Amino acid sequence: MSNNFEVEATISDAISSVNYSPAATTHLLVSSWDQTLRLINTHAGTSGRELLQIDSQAPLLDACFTGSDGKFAAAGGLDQTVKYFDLDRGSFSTLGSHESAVKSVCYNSEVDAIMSGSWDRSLHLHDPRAASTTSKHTLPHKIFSLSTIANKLVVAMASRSIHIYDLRNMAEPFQRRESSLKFMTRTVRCMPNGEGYASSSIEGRVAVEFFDPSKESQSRKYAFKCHRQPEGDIDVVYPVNALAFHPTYGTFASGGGDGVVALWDGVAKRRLRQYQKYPASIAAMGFSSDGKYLAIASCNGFEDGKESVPSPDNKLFVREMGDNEAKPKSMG
Amino acid sequence: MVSRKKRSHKDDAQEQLARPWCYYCERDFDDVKILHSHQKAKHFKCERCRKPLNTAGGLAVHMTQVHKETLKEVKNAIPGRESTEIEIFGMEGIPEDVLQAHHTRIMAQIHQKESERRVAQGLPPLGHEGAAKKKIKVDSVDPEEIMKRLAAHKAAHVGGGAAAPVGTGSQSPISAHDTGGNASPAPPPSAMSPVYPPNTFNAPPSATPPPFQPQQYGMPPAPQFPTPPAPYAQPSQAPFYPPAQQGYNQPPAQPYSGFPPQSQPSYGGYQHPQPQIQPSFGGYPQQQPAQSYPPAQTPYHPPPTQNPPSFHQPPPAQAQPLPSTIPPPQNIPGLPVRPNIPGLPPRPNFSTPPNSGNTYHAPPNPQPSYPGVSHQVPNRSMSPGSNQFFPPPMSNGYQAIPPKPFPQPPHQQQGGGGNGEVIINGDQVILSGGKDWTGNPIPQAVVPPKPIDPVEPKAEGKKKDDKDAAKAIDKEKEKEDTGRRKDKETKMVYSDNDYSPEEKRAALAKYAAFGIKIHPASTGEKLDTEMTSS
Repeated sequence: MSNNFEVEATISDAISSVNYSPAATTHLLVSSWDQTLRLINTHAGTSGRELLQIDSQAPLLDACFTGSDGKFAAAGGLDQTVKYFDLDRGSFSTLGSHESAVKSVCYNSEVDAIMSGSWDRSLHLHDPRAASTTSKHTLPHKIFSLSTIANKLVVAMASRSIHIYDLRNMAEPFQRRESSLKFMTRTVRCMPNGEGYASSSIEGRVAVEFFDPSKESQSRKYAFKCHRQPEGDIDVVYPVNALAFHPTYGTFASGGGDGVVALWDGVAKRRLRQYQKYPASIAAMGFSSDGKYLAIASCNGFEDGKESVPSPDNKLFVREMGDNEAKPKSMG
Repeated sequence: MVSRKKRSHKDDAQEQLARPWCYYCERDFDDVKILHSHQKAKHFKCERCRKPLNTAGGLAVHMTQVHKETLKEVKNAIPGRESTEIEIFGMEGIPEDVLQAHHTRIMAQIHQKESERRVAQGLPPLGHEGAAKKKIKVDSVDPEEIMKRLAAHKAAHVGGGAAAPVGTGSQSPISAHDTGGNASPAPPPSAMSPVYPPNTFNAPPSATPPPFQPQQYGMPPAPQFPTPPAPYAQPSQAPFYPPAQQGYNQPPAQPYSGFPPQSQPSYGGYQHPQPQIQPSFGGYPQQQPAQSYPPAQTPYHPPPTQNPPSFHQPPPAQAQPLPSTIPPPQNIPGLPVRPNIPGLPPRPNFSTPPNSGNTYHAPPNPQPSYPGVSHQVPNRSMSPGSNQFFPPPMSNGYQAIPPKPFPQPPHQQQGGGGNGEVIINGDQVILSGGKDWTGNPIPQAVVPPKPIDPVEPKAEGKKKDDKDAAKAIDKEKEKEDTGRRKDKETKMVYSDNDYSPEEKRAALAKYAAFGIKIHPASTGEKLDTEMTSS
């Protein structure tokens, strides 16, 4: 079974994202509402060590590594700017700015571009080498989540709207879709194999959909309930705040407001694991590039009425996955 | 079998026949529990999540509900058995024809082994014993008498040949028996002589089944021959039935090919033998069929099982006592001619299931047939050996069916998963008066009657099974539904569909410096209108 441990970190506010480095499997990029971007070696010593802490001067809502060497990162936050961090030097520069908070950023290695989405309904593409914004796109709704794989970019917006872009042709969305979930989309993540994506909603549901517009592929899409807890006759439904695909197996983890992390086999449509409850709502998750570790951020603040609750429990956990823990059953 | 040579091969046969076997792969098992676990593991396991289900229907429901997929076929099934529509649970739900085929096969195997054994041991081939006896008897008969009979037989053959095929169709098996009885000066052993329709039918309740027993057991020749063995014991009969004797030894024996209509559907390969018989007894077949069951017979020749139902009707009550009296049926074609096999008497019961279904088809008979069905149930209990052979299918089907089956027509349909069989059932019921067994009107819409074809018997045989299947599926659904289908009342921890948690958080005072605000009433942001519109 997997070994779960807490990473010691001095994070004073909610965590907004955790991403493992594409180069170093134990380096974790952590963005937080406490206005800092951290690089943590989760396996230094017994409980990890902070390698770097950069004050970004604004609460960060998302961050990602850029490039493939794990030395650069991009992040966006409440100050409406997209920042480009040099992790070696511990410095950052501004790539561009939106007119509202930047909710999501992601990096695509095929086109070597950083994408940022904001509540101002705009999507920006940035060139990290030129340190500039290359294109801006206005979308119909607030952007809540971005995810990219291969040449696809999935933009999850308010009003259950989802646009899929082909990064080689950003003039028009490749597809416009309505989420198959009936409630607000929380997050979207692309499958490592580039065939589709999973999205989650505030109503304890995860949908798996496919890019291929053919009827055949579309018939494969499905959604399932999760992160619900019966209390008497009532099911208490938690938002699914985080999704993370295993980079090699294609299975994925979901993290909910109930503090539960579950591992799913999207092909077999079966839950592989459900882990013991974490102390607070799961805010973010990320697999290491080799799939051995799953970083889990647990903090209050993502449910009704809890936004203002001071959350001392901004904790970061790492789950070391067993050899076959995230392996789909179908792979024997 | 081979290992226990001391046991009579008759016992082996019974034992062999009594072994539960898997419909999908024809494997046999020591007991039903093992069969169940085998089916769970081999045929009813979900490929996606490896969850073992109890039935194909359950698996289909599981696949649909859990994986949103459609179950196309049962895994690891031998060709032709992959259908997911047939609800199999252990030994329950196996279509009658398949059941019969299986028994035929087993008996053939047993017979072959026995033959081989005998050859190895230098014993006379199976059935020859009986033949020898008969021969002796023959000798005792007056030669003139024999010649007379032969002449009469030929005459009858010529005259009755034409009529025989049709009329006998349904009842043919019985007619065969009857003929045997008639031929013999002393009909006693086989009470079913055509001359005595009442008797035949009375006894038959149990007796009628005998003809079908063979079918069910899968031994085509058996039905016809069961009765004869007894007659043959008597010297007088011998002359007429030389072919018959052979027939006993060799199931497919040509002489008995006289009963094609019935046999064809069910036995397929064994069709030929019956026709021949009829010609020989041409006179008898005509009488019987025409008189007692004209309507039912002709229309429903194809289904072998149909005939029995008709017989059951009249003497339901009587039938029960008879089981003991019916020695011939017990004989198994493959086995040496043994008039009475202790374990086998129950067989008649097996025939009943199909019959009940058939009875519905025949308009005239329908009502009578119902009583017969009920009788069958008692018979089963009466017959000691029945359980041994097909405990699960028979017992469950019968018991369960009579009480609940029709009362819940809708269930049936559900259970059938929309397959035609269920509909057929409903149809049948409607045909029989628009009421179910319990006499309740059937709510179902009338289904256009389906053409009667050989396939129907199956459907009928499944009738009861369908009900069971329906139950099973319902159970499955209940199981799988719990917590899924029923949309529980839910309470969302985060219910704001307009603003994300992050937005709300960003609007907190401590982040006020960054100017993120929320406009609950749609004042500032145009987005609000957009979102509400959705």
